[in-house]
Amino acid sequence: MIVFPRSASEAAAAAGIVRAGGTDLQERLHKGITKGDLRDLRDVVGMSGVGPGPAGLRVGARTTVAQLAVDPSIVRDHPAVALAAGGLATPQIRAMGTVGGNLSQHVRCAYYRDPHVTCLRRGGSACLSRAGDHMFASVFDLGPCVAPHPSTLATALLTSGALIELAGADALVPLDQWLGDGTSLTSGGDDLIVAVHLPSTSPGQVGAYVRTIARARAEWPVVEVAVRARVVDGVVVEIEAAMGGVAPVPIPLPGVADALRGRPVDPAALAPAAGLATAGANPLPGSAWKVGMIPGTVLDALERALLPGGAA
Amino acid sequence: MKQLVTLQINGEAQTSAVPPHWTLLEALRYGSGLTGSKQGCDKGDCGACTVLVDGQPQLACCSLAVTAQGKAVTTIEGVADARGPAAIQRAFDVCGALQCGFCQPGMILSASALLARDPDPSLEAIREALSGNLCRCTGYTRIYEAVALAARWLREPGDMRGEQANVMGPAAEGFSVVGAPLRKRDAIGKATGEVRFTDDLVLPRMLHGKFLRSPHAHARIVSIDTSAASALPGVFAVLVGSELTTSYGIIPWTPDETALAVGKVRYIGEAVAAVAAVDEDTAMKACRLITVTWDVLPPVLDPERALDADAPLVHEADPKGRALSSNLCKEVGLSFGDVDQALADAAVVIDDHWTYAGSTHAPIEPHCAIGSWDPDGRLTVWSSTQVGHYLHRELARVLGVAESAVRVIQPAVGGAFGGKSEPFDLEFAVAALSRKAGRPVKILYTREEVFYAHRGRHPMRFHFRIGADASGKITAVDNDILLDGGAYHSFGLVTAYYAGQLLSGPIDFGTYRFRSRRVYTNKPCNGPKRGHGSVQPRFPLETAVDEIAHRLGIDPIEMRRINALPERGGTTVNGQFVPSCGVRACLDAVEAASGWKERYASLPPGRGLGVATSMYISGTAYPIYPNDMPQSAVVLRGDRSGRITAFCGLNEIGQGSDSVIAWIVSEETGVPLSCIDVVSGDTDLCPVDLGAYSSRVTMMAGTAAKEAGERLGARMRDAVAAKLGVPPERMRRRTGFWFDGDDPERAVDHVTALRLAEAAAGMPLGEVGAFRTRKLGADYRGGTIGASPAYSATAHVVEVDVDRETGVVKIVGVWAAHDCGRAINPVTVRGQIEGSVYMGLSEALMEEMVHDGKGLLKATSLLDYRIMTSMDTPPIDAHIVESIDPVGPYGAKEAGEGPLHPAIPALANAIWHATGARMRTMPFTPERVLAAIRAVGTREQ
Ligand SMILES: Cc1cc2nc3c(=O)[nH]c(=O)nc-3n(C[C@H](O)[C@H](O)[C@H](O)COP(=O)(O)OP(=O)(O)OC[C@H]3O[C@@H](n4cnc5c(N)ncnc54)[C@H](O)[C@@H]3O)c2cc1C
Ligand code: SF4
Ligand code: FES
Ligand code: FES
Repeated sequence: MIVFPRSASEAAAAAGIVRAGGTDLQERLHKGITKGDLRDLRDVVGMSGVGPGPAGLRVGARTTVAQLAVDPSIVRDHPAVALAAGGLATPQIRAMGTVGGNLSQHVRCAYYRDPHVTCLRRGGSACLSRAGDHMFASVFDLGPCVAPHPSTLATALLTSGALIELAGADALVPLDQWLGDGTSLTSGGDDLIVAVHLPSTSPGQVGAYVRTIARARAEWPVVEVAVRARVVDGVVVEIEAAMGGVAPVPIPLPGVADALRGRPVDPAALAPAAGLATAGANPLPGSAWKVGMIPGTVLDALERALLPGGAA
Repeated sequence: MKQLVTLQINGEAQTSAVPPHWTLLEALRYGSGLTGSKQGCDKGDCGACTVLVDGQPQLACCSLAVTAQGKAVTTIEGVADARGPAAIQRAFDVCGALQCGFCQPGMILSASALLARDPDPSLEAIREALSGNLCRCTGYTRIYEAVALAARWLREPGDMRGEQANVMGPAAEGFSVVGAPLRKRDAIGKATGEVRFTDDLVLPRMLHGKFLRSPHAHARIVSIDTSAASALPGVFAVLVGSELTTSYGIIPWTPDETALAVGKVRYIGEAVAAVAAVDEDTAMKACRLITVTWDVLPPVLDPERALDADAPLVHEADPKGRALSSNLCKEVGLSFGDVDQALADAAVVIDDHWTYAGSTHAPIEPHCAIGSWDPDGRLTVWSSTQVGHYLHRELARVLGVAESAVRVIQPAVGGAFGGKSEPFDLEFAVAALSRKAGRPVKILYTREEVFYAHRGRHPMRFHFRIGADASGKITAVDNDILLDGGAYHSFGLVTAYYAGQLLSGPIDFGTYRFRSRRVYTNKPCNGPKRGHGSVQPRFPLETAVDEIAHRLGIDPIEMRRINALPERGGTTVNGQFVPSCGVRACLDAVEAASGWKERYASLPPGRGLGVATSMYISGTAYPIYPNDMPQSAVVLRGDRSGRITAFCGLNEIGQGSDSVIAWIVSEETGVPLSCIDVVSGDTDLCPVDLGAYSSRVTMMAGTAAKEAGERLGARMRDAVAAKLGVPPERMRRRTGFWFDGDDPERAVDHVTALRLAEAAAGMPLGEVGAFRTRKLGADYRGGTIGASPAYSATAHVVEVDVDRETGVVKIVGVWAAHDCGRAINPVTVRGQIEGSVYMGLSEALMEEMVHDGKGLLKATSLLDYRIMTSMDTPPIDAHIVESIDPVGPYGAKEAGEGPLHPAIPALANAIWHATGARMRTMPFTPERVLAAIRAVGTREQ
């Protein structure tokens, strides 16, 4: 059964698994690891596109990743978000995948997606990755599940202080709050995301998005880093950074940002700042190597954002 | 419950009744019969199902049919118009961008969407636009060219046909067809989506089959209860292993597999039962209703551990029923000359350990088979196989019917690379299920099942010692090789030999010794992947040779020249005769093209160049099962309408073998290509050819076609000569005509020539030709394994840019030169070189079959198992070297596998040049490269 609600409230009231672009859901349905009726967001009015909103910009949950990548106001005001959207997955996935779906997609852990086995997150008794192969697992071990959060957009949106508009909720929920502390075993929220709000920014935003991985496309990165900054007269007046691929939730990097904020751009200061990103890492034996990839990736992102002409 | 859905497909409203959970891909393929959109993975990873939705490339496998209502969908069938194929389709054809063609419908749609928004795309824009469409055959280079050409045609609309003629060049000196860059015969049909692959075929009343697969790496099957599955409405037949107990194997001496597991399972994913039902969903549901009681056994996963005395036994008995006491499947030890003395005398010795990771073929088309019995008890199996003849034999044996009661038909195959060169569970299952159900049965593997079927590159561990004298001459090679075979024998005995026997050229050693041991483990079975058995040992050899060159202060390219086999008539240290070896010319070509001399010493840190070479067989000396019949044969039928039909049992898998036959027949008879048909891959209609493996097709089927063509040509010549009253020796031919060499005005066209020949014969025109086994190889036990009529040679230079902070390796340039003897068609040869280079680099950089501690394969999708996308693949600069071999047809040798080998060591050598880190373990992933760089840093401090 599939229903096509026409409004956000109808969608919130309807039963079934939410379906947006289907790029994550369809595979799980096909494998039989997700089952149930569907409510497809195709016909919901007012859920698509970027426009002005109470906080700044409102991005409808059904806006595609591809739209987000090229939207002029996103490119201007939140360049790291646009770069992240343009750099993930493949052209086809970006054309179909939506902002809401990207935030709510389920983890890519191979055990989770293997119908032969049932891990903790699928209702089993143990995390199979922790005891088995966890080469690409988290290096910040925050909860029972060690699968990294799969959403690239969440990482980039954190640097913009995004807020989530949930169906039926009065107030907007800050993204970091919605993401939680990494201990939750449900993917995404249980609630329907209607839109993502981006606070307005001062003119002159610069941003960078860098992913480290063997394969250039069609791939989740080992480590990904987004940086949003504003430089005035050679001084870093605003900077936020966040990192994905390394923990059950994207990790904000306040230490890195604090080390650079309010100071003149100094190429020599970037590497020490980048080194702070590994603080608190408590990897698993098999994922420890990923810690070594963090400083280089953060450094690359800082260089691209702050140095003229990008990375050296 | 079905639902009526109206889709706007290619400008037409089409209404069909589909289940609401059907994807757009299912609705297109099964609802509307538009089979041009392909299913490669069914989960968003490959792009083969790409269609345009409102002009934008989207994945039909991730869309639901019901959600696509009201949107304009363009499939590959809608790209051509009344005037014929579109510019982009013609450009793919002309540029030789189509090999197996399975990725192409999606690729062409992504490309046409790009051209619609950017009439003059840069190379970078093309690579980005195609980055969601995986191609496993081409190395993307010809595709980049095709998109750029189509863009030019669209910007400057001239006479596209005229331009096409310009793109096609002339034949080689003295020939009318050989050497011309002609289009492949099946290419345009693949570009328009018309060519049918196995899964595109639908038979009336056809059922769909599914397997129940083992969740355990090692377990005894105590009992199987299929009653609930059989009782499920819609289920027509259920099959378990005990119903088909005859064991089989591609090597006749080692039949250790059964169609479905009998008694025990040996890897996670092994088939235990199969179900045929009205549709896949019902079959899957029935599989879940089958209960198996297991007695779980400890698995053995590590090949070294497998040799321990107390290791669990993967096989308790050999195929003859004799008890086994170890997991050793095959051991080979051969020695040539006094290696120990040579090592003791050497000026430099490298003594170290290398590890080669297992990788898989990952053809974009999943395996598929259909079985059907006729009322007289004859079986027909359609299969995406690359060895129709061997499949034919094994089907008959396992099903217990006469070979004459079995017909195997091989439709177009969407990539194989060795991964479809044995019989598989699905071919037996469709036959047996269809016999039980009394209806045709189709089974299409899921992408996971393709990974379980595997038969990919063997993981190998090497203890490798190599010595050289002060002048750089390699004096000794000593190699101890451990092969991780996985659960079954497959080609294992050959692989164990190849790992040692094929290493002895083009670098010539003074003395040589190897021991190779293949062991069983509880993992999917390894087998032959492009460059069977011989790709792996090139990694230690060519990286160690590089290291010696640097220690001795010799330029790495010069080092390979010093050690090269002679250009003509060399004999390797292990006694193989190499009629021609063009490796020096290959080295010259890549040295010049890469700017090696000017740049090698002056690249900035992080940038590096690396070189490597290789040699490969053009077919094996002997067939897999001993017999005195030809290894390949061609039957020609000349027709008074002016056409020739060539029948040959070869398996066209995208490499262009059908076209090779047509080109050769045209060359020999003067009959134009437009009048030549090739019928292949059908065991009822065609004389036997052993299949598409070991790079044998051009050599063997080509020789057969040449012999048959010469005979038919001679009849035409004699008949025309008699008609014109000139001696036959004076007759000449060019495409479409036979004429008097002394008076070219006196000519008859090919139609008349065929008619005269038929009249002269007094019966229909038929001729045969064959490739017969010749005595080859050296005179010791195993001396014929690795023997081949001819050997190709290759050299690569690879340039990399390594990020020293993250270990990410970017390939910035590749130059590959390959000696194929003679390029019967330079476009297809170049395509084979590029595809090989791509496949080698991809496995070197990112591919690995990883299992966890329980034997669970960790990467069973084209996302988790990484293969290079267009964004990872720079244009490959391929150069052809023609040594004109004395043995092959027109001097031709192989081009399909050899050019893969040097990619891995050349890349490793380039990483060393860029960073000072010697990679000893594959693949060269960021973490490994970073660790190696840091280790060098620590050593230097
Ligand atoms: C080859 C490949 C590579 C990829 N690489 C990356 C990558 O690097 N980074 C990355 O971030 N992603 C990557 N992806 C994932 C892709 O970006 C996501 O699949 C996509 O963004 C999901 O969006 P969708 O609209 O298709 O979601 P769907 O598949 O429709 O839904 C996904 C999940 O979200 C839920 N959902 C959808 N919309 C809402 C909503 N509005 N409110 C609440 N729940 C909702 C659904 O119920 C479902 O559980 C990759 C995918 C592929 C196939
Ligand atoms: S990491 Fe999470 S998803 Fe993976 S096995 Fe553990 S609990 Fe399951
Ligand atoms: S079949 Fe759709 S992406 Fe592979
Ligand atoms: S031609 Fe691209 S996969 Fe075969």
